Amino acid sequence: MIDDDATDPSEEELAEAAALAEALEGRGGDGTLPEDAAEAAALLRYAGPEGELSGARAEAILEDLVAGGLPERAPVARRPWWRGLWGAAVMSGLTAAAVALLVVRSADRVGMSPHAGASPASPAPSAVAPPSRAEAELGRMPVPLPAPPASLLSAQAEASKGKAERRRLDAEMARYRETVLRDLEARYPARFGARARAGGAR
Amino acid sequence: MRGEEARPGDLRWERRCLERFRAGDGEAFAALYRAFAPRLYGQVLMPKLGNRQAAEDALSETFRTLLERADRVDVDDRSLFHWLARVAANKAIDMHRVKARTGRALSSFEGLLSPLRDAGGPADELEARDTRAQAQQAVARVLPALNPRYRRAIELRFFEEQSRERCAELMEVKLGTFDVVLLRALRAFRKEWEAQLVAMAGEGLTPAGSDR
Repeated sequence: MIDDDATDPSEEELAEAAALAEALEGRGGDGTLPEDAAEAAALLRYAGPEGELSGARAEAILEDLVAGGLPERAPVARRPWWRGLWGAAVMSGLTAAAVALLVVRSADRVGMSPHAGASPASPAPSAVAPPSRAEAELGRMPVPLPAPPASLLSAQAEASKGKAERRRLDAEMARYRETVLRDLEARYPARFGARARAGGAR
Repeated sequence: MRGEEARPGDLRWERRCLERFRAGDGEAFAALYRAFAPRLYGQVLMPKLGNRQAAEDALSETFRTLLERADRVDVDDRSLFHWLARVAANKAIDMHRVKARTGRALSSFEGLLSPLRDAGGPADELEARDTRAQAQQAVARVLPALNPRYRRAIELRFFEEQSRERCAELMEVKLGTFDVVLLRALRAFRKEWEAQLVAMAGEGLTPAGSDR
Protein backbone atom coordinates (compact mmCIF):
# COMPACT_ATOMS: atom_id res chain seq x y z
CA MET A 1 0.00 0.00 0.00
CA ILE A 2 1.46 3.34 -1.08
CA ASP A 3 0.91 6.06 1.49
CA ASP A 4 2.97 9.23 1.74
CA ASP A 5 -0.04 11.44 2.40
CA ALA A 6 1.12 12.47 5.84
CA THR A 7 3.99 14.76 4.89
CA ASP A 8 3.53 18.49 4.34
CA PRO A 9 4.01 19.66 0.77
CA SER A 10 7.10 21.62 -0.12
CA GLU A 11 6.93 24.90 -2.03
CA GLU A 12 8.02 23.04 -5.14
CA GLU A 13 5.28 20.46 -4.71
CA LEU A 14 2.68 23.15 -4.21
CA ALA A 15 3.78 24.82 -7.46
CA GLU A 16 3.67 21.50 -9.28
CA ALA A 17 0.20 20.73 -7.90
CA ALA A 18 -1.07 24.11 -9.06
CA ALA A 19 0.47 23.68 -12.54
CA LEU A 20 -1.03 20.21 -12.83
CA ALA A 21 -4.45 21.51 -11.82
CA GLU A 22 -4.21 24.12 -14.59
CA ALA A 23 -3.13 21.54 -17.12
CA LEU A 24 -6.01 19.25 -16.20
CA GLU A 25 -8.35 22.12 -16.91
CA GLY A 26 -6.93 22.20 -20.44
CA ARG A 27 -4.65 25.14 -19.97
CA GLY A 28 -1.02 24.80 -20.93
CA GLY A 29 1.28 23.90 -18.10
CA ASP A 30 4.25 26.12 -17.44
CA GLY A 31 7.75 24.96 -16.71
CA THR A 32 6.72 23.54 -13.33
CA LEU A 33 4.25 21.05 -14.79
CA PRO A 34 5.16 17.62 -13.40
CA GLU A 35 5.27 15.56 -16.58
CA ASP A 36 5.23 12.26 -14.72
CA ALA A 37 1.93 13.06 -13.03
CA ALA A 38 0.51 14.68 -16.17
CA GLU A 39 1.21 11.51 -18.16
CA ALA A 40 -0.43 9.37 -15.49
CA ALA A 41 -3.45 11.68 -15.58
CA ALA A 42 -3.66 11.37 -19.36
CA LEU A 43 -3.51 7.59 -19.05
CA LEU A 44 -6.32 7.60 -16.50
CA ARG A 45 -8.44 9.82 -18.72
CA TYR A 46 -7.77 7.41 -21.56
CA ALA A 47 -9.07 4.55 -19.42
CA GLY A 48 -12.07 6.67 -18.47
CA PRO A 49 -14.90 8.11 -20.56
CA GLU A 50 -12.61 10.48 -22.45
CA GLY A 51 -10.66 7.65 -23.96
CA GLU A 52 -13.45 6.80 -26.34
CA LEU A 53 -14.71 8.93 -29.18
CA SER A 54 -18.41 9.30 -28.59
CA GLY A 55 -20.73 8.68 -31.50
CA ALA A 56 -22.10 12.20 -31.28
CA ARG A 57 -18.65 13.77 -31.36
CA ALA A 58 -17.57 11.53 -34.21
CA GLU A 59 -20.59 12.54 -36.28
CA ALA A 60 -20.07 16.21 -35.46
CA ILE A 61 -16.49 16.01 -36.73
CA LEU A 62 -17.63 14.21 -39.87
CA GLU A 63 -20.33 16.77 -40.48
CA ASP A 64 -17.79 19.54 -40.18
CA LEU A 65 -15.43 17.76 -42.57
CA VAL A 66 -17.96 17.33 -45.34
CA ALA A 67 -19.77 20.61 -44.74
CA GLY A 68 -18.03 22.24 -47.66
CA GLY A 69 -18.55 19.22 -49.90
CA LEU A 70 -15.85 16.95 -51.20
CA PRO A 71 -12.91 18.79 -52.73
CA GLU A 72 -13.10 19.27 -56.46
CA ARG A 73 -11.04 16.67 -58.19
CA ALA A 74 -9.35 17.79 -61.35
CA PRO A 75 -11.55 16.34 -64.09
CA VAL A 76 -9.84 14.18 -66.64
CA ALA A 77 -9.85 16.39 -69.73
CA ARG A 78 -11.54 14.65 -72.65
CA ARG A 79 -10.06 15.66 -76.01
CA PRO A 80 -12.34 16.12 -79.01
CA TRP A 81 -12.23 13.20 -81.44
CA TRP A 82 -10.69 15.25 -84.24
CA ARG A 83 -7.71 16.05 -82.06
CA GLY A 84 -7.03 12.36 -81.84
CA LEU A 85 -7.06 12.11 -85.63
CA TRP A 86 -4.76 15.07 -85.92
CA GLY A 87 -2.30 13.46 -83.58
CA ALA A 88 -2.43 10.18 -85.50
CA ALA A 89 -1.80 11.99 -88.77
CA VAL A 90 1.21 13.81 -87.36
CA MET A 91 2.62 10.59 -85.96
CA SER A 92 2.11 8.79 -89.28
CA GLY A 93 3.89 11.57 -91.14
CA LEU A 94 6.83 11.49 -88.77
CA THR A 95 7.07 7.72 -89.03
CA ALA A 96 6.97 7.83 -92.83
CA ALA A 97 9.69 10.48 -92.90
CA ALA A 98 11.88 8.40 -90.58
CA VAL A 99 11.43 5.29 -92.75
CA ALA A 100 12.22 7.23 -95.93
CA LEU A 101 15.37 8.63 -94.36
CA LEU A 102 16.48 5.16 -93.32
CA VAL A 103 15.90 3.79 -96.83
CA VAL A 104 17.88 6.59 -98.46
CA ARG A 105 20.78 6.22 -96.06
CA SER A 106 20.80 2.46 -96.47
CA ALA A 107 20.86 2.86 -100.24
CA ASP A 108 23.87 5.15 -99.91
CA ARG A 109 25.69 2.67 -97.75
CA VAL A 110 25.13 -0.36 -99.96
CA GLY A 111 26.10 1.56 -103.07
CA MET A 112 22.81 1.08 -104.89
CA SER A 113 23.95 3.93 -107.08
CA PRO A 114 27.34 2.69 -108.35
CA HIS A 115 28.65 6.15 -108.97
CA ALA A 116 27.49 7.64 -105.75
CA GLY A 117 30.42 9.20 -103.98
CA ALA A 118 32.81 7.78 -106.58
CA SER A 119 34.53 10.99 -107.45
CA PRO A 120 38.23 10.81 -108.25
CA ALA A 121 38.92 12.16 -104.80
CA SER A 122 37.07 9.28 -103.15
CA PRO A 123 39.07 7.04 -100.88
CA ALA A 124 40.14 3.65 -102.05
CA PRO A 125 37.26 1.11 -102.25
CA SER A 126 38.69 -1.03 -99.49
CA ALA A 127 38.42 1.93 -97.12
CA VAL A 128 34.63 1.29 -96.83
CA ALA A 129 34.28 -0.15 -93.34
CA PRO A 130 33.19 -3.76 -93.53
CA PRO A 131 30.55 -5.01 -91.14
CA SER A 132 31.62 -6.97 -88.16
CA ARG A 133 32.31 -10.69 -88.44
CA ALA A 134 29.17 -11.54 -86.55
CA GLU A 135 27.11 -9.39 -88.90
CA ALA A 136 28.78 -10.95 -91.88
CA GLU A 137 28.17 -14.45 -90.55
CA LEU A 138 24.54 -13.72 -90.00
CA GLY A 139 24.33 -12.55 -93.57
CA ARG A 140 21.88 -9.85 -92.60
CA MET A 141 23.93 -6.94 -93.85
CA PRO A 142 23.76 -5.98 -97.53
CA VAL A 143 26.96 -6.30 -99.59
CA PRO A 144 28.38 -2.84 -100.14
CA LEU A 145 30.39 -3.34 -103.33
CA PRO A 146 33.44 -1.11 -103.54
CA ALA A 147 33.02 1.81 -105.89
CA PRO A 148 35.13 1.46 -109.07
CA PRO A 149 38.23 3.61 -108.95
CA ALA A 150 38.66 6.51 -111.35
CA SER A 151 41.49 4.66 -113.14
CA LEU A 152 39.10 1.82 -114.08
CA LEU A 153 36.50 4.22 -115.36
CA SER A 154 39.04 6.03 -117.55
CA ALA A 155 40.38 2.68 -118.81
CA GLN A 156 36.83 1.71 -119.76
CA ALA A 157 36.38 4.99 -121.59
CA GLU A 158 39.60 4.49 -123.63
CA ALA A 159 39.28 0.73 -124.25
CA SER A 160 38.04 1.17 -127.77
CA LYS A 161 41.15 3.07 -128.87
CA GLY A 162 43.47 0.09 -129.28
CA LYS A 163 45.10 -3.07 -127.89
CA ALA A 164 47.20 -1.32 -125.29
CA GLU A 165 44.12 0.40 -123.88
CA ARG A 166 42.24 -2.95 -123.73
CA ARG A 167 45.14 -4.55 -121.81
CA ARG A 168 45.08 -1.63 -119.42
CA LEU A 169 41.33 -2.12 -118.93
CA ASP A 170 41.89 -5.85 -118.25
CA ALA A 171 44.51 -5.05 -115.66
CA GLU A 172 42.26 -2.46 -113.99
CA MET A 173 39.33 -4.92 -114.01
CA ALA A 174 41.52 -7.64 -112.46
CA ARG A 175 42.56 -5.24 -109.70
CA TYR A 176 38.96 -4.26 -109.11
CA ARG A 177 37.80 -7.92 -108.99
CA GLU A 178 40.56 -8.63 -106.49
CA THR A 179 39.28 -5.80 -104.31
CA VAL A 180 35.67 -7.02 -104.54
CA LEU A 181 36.63 -10.59 -103.69
CA ARG A 182 38.74 -9.46 -100.77
CA ASP A 183 35.79 -7.56 -99.34
CA LEU A 184 33.46 -10.50 -99.90
CA GLU A 185 35.90 -12.80 -98.19
CA ALA A 186 36.11 -10.49 -95.22
CA ARG A 187 32.35 -10.34 -94.92
CA TYR A 188 31.43 -13.92 -95.81
CA PRO A 189 34.48 -15.96 -94.95
CA ALA A 190 32.52 -19.22 -95.00
CA ARG A 191 31.38 -18.73 -98.58
CA PHE A 192 34.21 -16.70 -100.11
CA GLY A 193 37.26 -18.17 -98.45
CA ALA A 194 40.30 -19.53 -100.23
CA ARG A 195 38.19 -20.84 -103.12
CA ALA A 196 36.94 -17.41 -104.01
CA ARG A 197 40.46 -16.03 -103.84
CA ALA A 198 41.70 -18.88 -105.99
CA GLY A 199 38.96 -18.11 -108.51
CA GLY A 200 39.88 -14.45 -108.44
CA ALA A 201 43.50 -15.31 -109.11
CA ARG A 202 42.55 -17.33 -112.20
CA MET B 1 -22.38 2.56 -49.67
CA ARG B 2 -25.30 3.81 -47.65
CA GLY B 3 -26.27 1.32 -45.02
CA GLU B 4 -23.28 -0.89 -45.71
CA GLU B 5 -21.56 -2.04 -42.58
CA ALA B 6 -18.09 -0.66 -41.99
CA ARG B 7 -15.51 -3.39 -42.14
CA PRO B 8 -12.05 -2.06 -41.33
CA GLY B 9 -9.45 -4.63 -42.19
CA ASP B 10 -11.51 -6.04 -45.08
CA LEU B 11 -9.23 -4.83 -47.83
CA ARG B 12 -11.73 -5.39 -50.62
CA TRP B 13 -14.29 -3.32 -48.81
CA GLU B 14 -11.71 -0.60 -48.18
CA ARG B 15 -10.61 -0.55 -51.84
CA ARG B 16 -14.19 -0.30 -52.98
CA CYS B 17 -14.85 2.59 -50.61
CA LEU B 18 -11.66 4.33 -51.65
CA GLU B 19 -12.45 4.00 -55.34
CA ARG B 20 -15.95 5.34 -54.86
CA PHE B 21 -14.71 8.15 -52.69
CA ARG B 22 -12.17 9.08 -55.37
CA ALA B 23 -15.03 9.16 -57.84
CA GLY B 24 -16.75 11.74 -55.65
CA ASP B 25 -18.99 9.54 -53.49
CA GLY B 26 -19.34 11.33 -50.14
CA GLU B 27 -21.04 8.33 -48.56
CA ALA B 28 -17.94 6.26 -49.24
CA PHE B 29 -15.83 8.82 -47.42
CA ALA B 30 -18.26 8.77 -44.49
CA ALA B 31 -18.07 4.97 -44.40
CA LEU B 32 -14.27 5.08 -44.23
CA TYR B 33 -14.43 7.73 -41.53
CA ARG B 34 -16.85 5.73 -39.41
CA ALA B 35 -14.74 2.63 -39.83
CA PHE B 36 -11.44 4.15 -38.79
CA ALA B 37 -12.08 7.30 -36.72
CA PRO B 38 -12.77 5.61 -33.36
CA ARG B 39 -9.70 3.40 -33.66
CA LEU B 40 -7.47 6.27 -34.71
CA TYR B 41 -8.72 8.34 -31.82
CA GLY B 42 -8.36 5.64 -29.19
CA GLN B 43 -5.22 3.87 -30.32
CA VAL B 44 -3.15 6.58 -31.94
CA LEU B 45 -4.21 10.09 -31.04
CA MET B 46 -5.20 9.89 -27.39
CA PRO B 47 -2.04 8.03 -26.36
CA LYS B 48 0.09 10.56 -28.23
CA LEU B 49 -1.76 13.69 -27.11
CA GLY B 50 -3.50 12.78 -23.86
CA ASN B 51 -6.05 15.51 -24.47
CA ARG B 52 -9.55 15.01 -25.81
CA GLN B 53 -9.87 18.30 -27.66
CA ALA B 54 -6.43 17.99 -29.23
CA ALA B 55 -7.15 14.40 -30.25
CA GLU B 56 -10.41 15.41 -31.90
CA ASP B 57 -8.71 18.24 -33.76
CA ALA B 58 -5.95 15.93 -34.96
CA LEU B 59 -8.56 13.38 -36.03
CA SER B 60 -10.33 16.01 -38.08
CA GLU B 61 -7.06 17.12 -39.66
CA THR B 62 -6.17 13.53 -40.49
CA PHE B 63 -9.37 12.96 -42.43
CA ARG B 64 -9.07 16.37 -44.04
CA THR B 65 -5.73 15.16 -45.39
CA LEU B 66 -7.48 12.08 -46.75
CA LEU B 67 -10.06 14.31 -48.41
CA GLU B 68 -7.38 16.39 -50.06
CA ARG B 69 -5.00 13.62 -51.06
CA ALA B 70 -7.34 10.80 -51.93
CA ASP B 71 -5.85 10.48 -55.38
CA ARG B 72 -2.37 10.05 -53.96
CA VAL B 73 -3.13 7.58 -51.20
CA ASP B 74 -0.93 4.57 -51.77
CA VAL B 75 -1.87 1.68 -49.52
CA ASP B 76 -0.32 -1.20 -51.49
CA ASP B 77 -1.78 -4.37 -50.04
CA ARG B 78 -2.28 -3.00 -46.54
CA SER B 79 -5.25 -1.51 -44.80
CA LEU B 80 -5.93 2.19 -45.21
CA PHE B 81 -5.68 2.34 -41.44
CA HIS B 82 -1.89 2.25 -41.62
CA TRP B 83 -1.81 5.25 -43.93
CA LEU B 84 -4.25 7.12 -41.68
CA ALA B 85 -2.29 6.19 -38.55
CA ARG B 86 0.89 7.58 -40.08
CA VAL B 87 -0.84 10.83 -40.98
CA ALA B 88 -2.42 11.03 -37.52
CA ALA B 89 0.96 10.46 -35.84
CA ASN B 90 2.43 13.31 -37.86
CA LYS B 91 -0.46 15.57 -36.88
CA ALA B 92 0.19 14.72 -33.23
CA ILE B 93 3.86 15.57 -33.63
CA ASP B 94 2.90 18.90 -35.19
CA MET B 95 0.63 19.61 -32.23
CA HIS B 96 3.41 18.92 -29.76
CA ARG B 97 5.62 21.33 -31.72
CA VAL B 98 3.12 24.15 -31.43
CA LYS B 99 2.08 23.28 -27.89
CA ALA B 100 3.48 26.52 -26.46
CA ARG B 101 1.63 28.60 -29.02
CA THR B 102 -1.74 26.89 -28.55
CA GLY B 103 -1.48 26.80 -24.77
CA ARG B 104 -2.71 23.20 -24.74
CA ALA B 105 -1.50 20.76 -22.16
CA LEU B 106 -0.43 17.70 -24.11
CA SER B 107 0.98 14.62 -22.45
CA SER B 108 1.90 11.59 -24.45
CA PHE B 109 1.50 8.47 -22.34
CA GLU B 110 2.59 6.00 -24.98
CA GLY B 111 5.51 5.08 -22.80
CA LEU B 112 3.15 3.97 -20.07
CA LEU B 113 1.21 1.85 -22.56
CA SER B 114 4.22 0.16 -24.04
CA PRO B 115 4.33 -2.69 -21.49
CA LEU B 116 0.70 -3.42 -22.40
CA ARG B 117 1.46 -3.42 -26.09
CA ASP B 118 4.55 -5.51 -25.61
CA ALA B 119 2.54 -8.03 -23.61
CA GLY B 120 -0.06 -8.17 -26.35
CA GLY B 121 2.31 -9.43 -29.00
CA PRO B 122 3.42 -7.83 -32.26
CA ALA B 123 2.13 -4.29 -32.54
CA ASP B 124 -0.49 -4.08 -35.25
CA GLU B 125 -3.23 -1.65 -34.40
CA LEU B 126 -5.61 -3.41 -36.71
CA GLU B 127 -5.53 -6.65 -34.82
CA ALA B 128 -8.43 -7.42 -32.58
CA ARG B 129 -6.55 -6.29 -29.50
CA ASP B 130 -8.03 -3.20 -27.92
CA THR B 131 -5.36 -1.19 -26.19
CA ARG B 132 -7.90 0.85 -24.30
CA ALA B 133 -9.67 -2.19 -22.93
CA GLN B 134 -6.33 -3.54 -21.79
CA ALA B 135 -5.50 -0.21 -20.16
CA GLN B 136 -8.81 -0.27 -18.32
CA GLN B 137 -8.11 -3.75 -17.02
CA ALA B 138 -4.64 -2.73 -15.91
CA VAL B 139 -5.96 0.38 -14.14
CA ALA B 140 -8.49 -1.78 -12.34
CA ARG B 141 -5.64 -3.94 -11.08
CA VAL B 142 -3.43 -1.04 -10.03
CA LEU B 143 -5.95 1.18 -8.22
CA PRO B 144 -6.65 -1.18 -5.30
CA ALA B 145 -2.95 -1.06 -4.42
CA LEU B 146 -3.17 2.68 -3.70
CA ASN B 147 -3.93 4.57 -0.51
CA PRO B 148 -7.78 4.77 -0.38
CA ARG B 149 -7.58 8.56 -0.23
CA TYR B 150 -5.51 8.66 -3.38
CA ARG B 151 -7.78 6.18 -5.06
CA ARG B 152 -10.80 8.30 -4.15
CA ALA B 153 -9.19 11.44 -5.58
CA ILE B 154 -8.46 9.65 -8.87
CA GLU B 155 -11.91 8.15 -9.15
CA LEU B 156 -13.64 11.44 -8.49
CA ARG B 157 -11.51 13.43 -10.92
CA PHE B 158 -11.03 10.99 -13.79
CA PHE B 159 -13.85 8.46 -13.71
CA GLU B 160 -16.68 10.50 -12.26
CA GLU B 161 -15.31 13.57 -14.07
CA GLN B 162 -16.07 15.89 -11.14
CA SER B 163 -14.74 19.41 -11.16
CA ARG B 164 -11.72 20.21 -9.05
CA GLU B 165 -13.85 22.26 -6.66
CA ARG B 166 -16.42 19.49 -6.29
CA CYS B 167 -13.68 16.96 -5.64
CA ALA B 168 -12.26 19.13 -2.86
CA GLU B 169 -15.72 19.51 -1.40
CA LEU B 170 -16.47 15.80 -1.50
CA MET B 171 -13.14 14.99 0.10
CA GLU B 172 -13.65 17.74 2.65
CA VAL B 173 -10.35 19.49 2.00
CA LYS B 174 -9.29 22.86 0.71
CA LEU B 175 -8.82 23.27 -3.02
CA GLY B 176 -5.03 23.59 -2.73
CA THR B 177 -4.90 20.51 -0.57
CA PHE B 178 -6.89 18.54 -3.10
CA ASP B 179 -4.42 19.58 -5.80
CA VAL B 180 -1.56 18.22 -3.73
CA VAL B 181 -3.43 15.01 -2.91
CA LEU B 182 -4.16 14.47 -6.58
CA LEU B 183 -0.55 15.11 -7.55
CA ARG B 184 0.63 12.56 -5.01
CA ALA B 185 -2.10 10.15 -6.05
CA LEU B 186 -0.99 10.33 -9.66
CA ARG B 187 2.64 9.76 -8.77
CA ALA B 188 1.70 6.82 -6.58
CA PHE B 189 -0.45 5.42 -9.37
CA ARG B 190 2.34 5.75 -11.89
CA LYS B 191 4.81 4.04 -9.60
CA GLU B 192 2.45 1.13 -9.01
CA TRP B 193 1.53 0.96 -12.70
CA GLU B 194 5.11 0.66 -13.77
CA ALA B 195 5.89 -1.92 -11.12
CA GLN B 196 2.89 -4.11 -11.96
CA LEU B 197 3.09 -3.84 -15.74
CA VAL B 198 6.81 -4.40 -15.95
CA ALA B 199 6.36 -7.47 -13.76
CA MET B 200 3.47 -8.71 -15.93
CA ALA B 201 5.40 -8.12 -19.13
CA GLY B 202 8.31 -10.06 -17.66
CA GLU B 203 6.01 -12.96 -16.89
CA GLY B 204 4.35 -12.79 -20.32
CA LEU B 205 0.95 -11.99 -18.82
CA THR B 206 -1.71 -9.63 -20.07
CA PRO B 207 -3.37 -7.25 -17.59
CA ALA B 208 -6.36 -9.56 -17.42
CA GLY B 209 -4.06 -12.12 -15.91
CA SER B 210 -4.33 -14.66 -18.70
CA ASP B 211 -1.39 -16.21 -20.41
CA ARG B 212 -0.54 -14.85 -23.79
